[in-house]
Amino acid sequence: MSKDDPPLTPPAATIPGTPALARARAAALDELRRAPRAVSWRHDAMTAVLLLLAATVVALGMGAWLSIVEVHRLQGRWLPLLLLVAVQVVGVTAALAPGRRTMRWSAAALAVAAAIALPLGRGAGAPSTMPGFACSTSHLAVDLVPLALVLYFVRKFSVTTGRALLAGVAAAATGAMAGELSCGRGWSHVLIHHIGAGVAVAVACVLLARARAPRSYAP
Amino acid sequence: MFRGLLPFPALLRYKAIPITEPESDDALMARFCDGNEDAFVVLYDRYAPQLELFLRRFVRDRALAEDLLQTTFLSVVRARGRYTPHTGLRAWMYAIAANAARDALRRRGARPEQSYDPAMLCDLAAPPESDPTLTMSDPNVARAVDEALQQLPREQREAVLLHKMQGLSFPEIATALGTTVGAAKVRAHRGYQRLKVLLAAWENA
Repeated sequence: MSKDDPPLTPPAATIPGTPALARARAAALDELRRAPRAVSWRHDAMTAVLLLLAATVVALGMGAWLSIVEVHRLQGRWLPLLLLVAVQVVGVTAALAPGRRTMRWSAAALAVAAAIALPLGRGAGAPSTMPGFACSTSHLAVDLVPLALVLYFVRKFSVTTGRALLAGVAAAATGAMAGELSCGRGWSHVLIHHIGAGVAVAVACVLLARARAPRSYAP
Repeated sequence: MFRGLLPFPALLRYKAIPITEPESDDALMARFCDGNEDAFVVLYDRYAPQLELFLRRFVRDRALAEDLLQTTFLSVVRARGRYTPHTGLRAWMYAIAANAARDALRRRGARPEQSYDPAMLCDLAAPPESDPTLTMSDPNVARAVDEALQQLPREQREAVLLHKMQGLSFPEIATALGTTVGAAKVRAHRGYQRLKVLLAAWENA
């Protein structure tokens, strides 16, 4: 057998109507009747991006209301914050778009750039009496809703590690933004307690996305 | 003016019977996306039998393959908004079927069943209409090929199955396996090389 030989069986219908074929067709037709109009992946991606941004605004608003988030920090940290917004938008879109390998690599590069820019922008930082893990815990708590949101969308299609990781990073960007506006510590703290928490959220997204069968196996 | 000269007047009444071209996949898909059931049924009848055959060969378990066929078409219906015409419908459907099969095997926590499914061996042994000279009509050869296929690494086995058994082109295989055309060719080439060695050993035995 070599690759130059013709296929062993023609791809034409070789199994006449079996009960299994009839059953699968009936189930698919039922599903089609339930949702006759197709939803474009662009619609899904746009909805996911808007919901994620809305969840971020609500989280930051609640933080400001509870006096955890300090809005005056916005002035000095607009560049990393802008980068984090880009990570959310591009990350979720790349995670939900079919194909588009280049977009996924761009989203990954953007996430790495953000992970480098966040500690670099801090320097030595200011001392704090709060324990370091308080930031990690807050980061994880803030990311819960965005994580649930991206998981809902990612599980609509075939889950791959790369896609789930990008979606998790996009969710983690919410916590990173809250961290940028509430914490004034130095680069090592950011690296361990903020970026570390973000990585944990991304890994959790992969594990949770793969734990159950997705709603569809479309690539 | 020559009407009276023609020996077969009936010929004048002859009109060419219009031969309707089968509707293209993309045209059917567009109607299916709008909720047209007839378009879906045509697509189903076009692809379901070959996908069932592929799934049986992939998972080597008839019951599981039947479940996976249903899962595949439920996925097709649910995710039809994700289909992009440049992908090619056949490759897209095979990608869904392969994803579903891989996930089912992963959840079962094992490689495909090693026991022989007689129905699957019949599929392998069936002499193709296009080339009755192929010796797969011999059940022993079919079994040897099947055993050899199972010894291939998963990626190579998938590429060989799609290329040799299902007749997909390399661009289609690349789409179905979510890789590049070059990588699909390399996987299939390595698979064939390994199969050659395994089958030569079987022949000599």
